[in-house]
Amino acid sequence: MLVLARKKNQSIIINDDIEIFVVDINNDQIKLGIKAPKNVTVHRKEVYDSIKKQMIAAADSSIKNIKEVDLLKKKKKKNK
Amino acid sequence: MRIKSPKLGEVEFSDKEVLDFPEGLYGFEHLKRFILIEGGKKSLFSYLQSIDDENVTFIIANPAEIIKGYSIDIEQSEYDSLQIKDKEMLADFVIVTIPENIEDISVNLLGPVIINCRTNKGKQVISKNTDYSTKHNILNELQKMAS
Repeated sequence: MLVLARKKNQSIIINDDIEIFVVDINNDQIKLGIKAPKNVTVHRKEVYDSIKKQMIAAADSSIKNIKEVDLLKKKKKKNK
Repeated sequence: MRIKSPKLGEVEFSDKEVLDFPEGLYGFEHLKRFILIEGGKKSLFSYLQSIDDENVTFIIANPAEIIKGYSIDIEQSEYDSLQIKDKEMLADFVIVTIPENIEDISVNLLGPVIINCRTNKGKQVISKNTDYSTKHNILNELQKMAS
């Protein structure tokens, strides 16, 4: 991994068209500004990780349980 | 063509039905081709079956049918990347998780899937609305629907 030291208001450029600025530094938190073409998506890593984790849980879903979900709905109907 | 899915049994499909996901799905980036299989007539759920790995089947749902006031909230650039120009070209759905305890049934609103119905190209995207969760419980909604 490439490691670069940057100060507030300095930036790095990736691939000629993506620029990442250090906007602010506050104790252990830094604010980054990102200038990139519209087709470049930028997201927080935790969001990626949480979606991946959930996708793996989703793939483990039992389809048999769908019938039980329907039963769940019916049970409620009877209670009415 | 046909595949044998452990979850859905033998499934027949034609070339035209194959959905192309050039980037795969999150956590399943290596799987690029899926088919969509309708659930029963009255079922809220359908299936997204991988063709590249028959063991991978997702349960999917149209969140607008389940959650009052839900609307997809993603960057315009995501639509552009699939050349989706109007609503008629768009199909969107979310992935459902049904764990052992079925009362914990949830949908992933943070990572919806969009498809261009004309080109059959699809993509999983990340919602702009960070209030959306990866585990939005839908038990209450399902019960309300039934009552």
